[in-house]
Amino acid sequence: MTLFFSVIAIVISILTIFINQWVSPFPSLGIEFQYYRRRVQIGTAVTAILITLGLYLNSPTTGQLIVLAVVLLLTPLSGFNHASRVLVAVDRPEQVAASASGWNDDALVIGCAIDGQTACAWLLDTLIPHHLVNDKLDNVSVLAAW
Amino acid sequence: MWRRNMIMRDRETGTLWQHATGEALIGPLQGARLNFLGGELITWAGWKKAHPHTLAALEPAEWGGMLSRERVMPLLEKATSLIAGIAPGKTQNDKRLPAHETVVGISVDGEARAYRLVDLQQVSIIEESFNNRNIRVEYDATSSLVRAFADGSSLIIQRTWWLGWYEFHPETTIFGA
Repeated sequence: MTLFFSVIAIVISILTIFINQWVSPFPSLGIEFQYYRRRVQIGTAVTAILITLGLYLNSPTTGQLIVLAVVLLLTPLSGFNHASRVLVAVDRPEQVAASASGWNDDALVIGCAIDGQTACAWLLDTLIPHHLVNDKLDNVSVLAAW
Repeated sequence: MWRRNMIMRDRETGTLWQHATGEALIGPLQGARLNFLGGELITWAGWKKAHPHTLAALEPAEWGGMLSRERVMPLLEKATSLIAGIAPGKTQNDKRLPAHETVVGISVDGEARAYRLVDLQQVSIIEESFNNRNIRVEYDATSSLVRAFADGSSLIIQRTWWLGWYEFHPETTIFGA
């Protein structure tokens, strides 16, 4: 029984690492799951830790200590498996005059002009790997998204 | 991802927003909608010519991502090829065009119309009557700019993959189809 619950705890920990991908094979989880993902993540992580902690307190063997350590080591990994850790949004990038940009004329940009007046451009080569640029243009908050 | 399209979480309220529509899907701001400013995809030379006093937003020197910048691009390409099949929340499956064909989408009085980019690149200008309006779609090969007009008034366009357009405009018609 102890082995069974130890395996369950480790499986929960591993599944927690991939919590951001759960909705792909199980789309019926819905957008609500993505919204409450963080709470579910904390819930499953705490459950796994409590199971292994309980097992260890019940039977303080080296094996149970290792299982507890494995679960504790796996838990923080779930925090890294998220798109925002890979595609990091840019906040308020430095804006310079066109002549100071150093960009090639052939480079593709996303350009935006507020009321045809103040204009700014974001280089596509910047936008794609970051996906989001939070910027301000003429005191208007602008999000350039790819 | 949701409906083959990125969702974004704002840091102030935690609300989730749909990239393609600017709609707040869930959270404190649910139901709100971002204003589309109609950014233009264009060459830097073309943009500077149209807006000589434009500013240029520079990429921060520090990358900040968990993976190196060089590893992100191949990863994105790989993920892109999977989007059509596994993206959760998708509601449509329209095979009139290849999923990753680039189209220019417009909405005129609630009616959606798609133009294949390759068609525009061939003829440069498409003029037609659509939904009782005179539509003109232009492609400038020099600057790579696409613009669209209805009765002379500028339209906001979306240059996107077919799968991204029909997902949110299931009743769309296609020019030439």
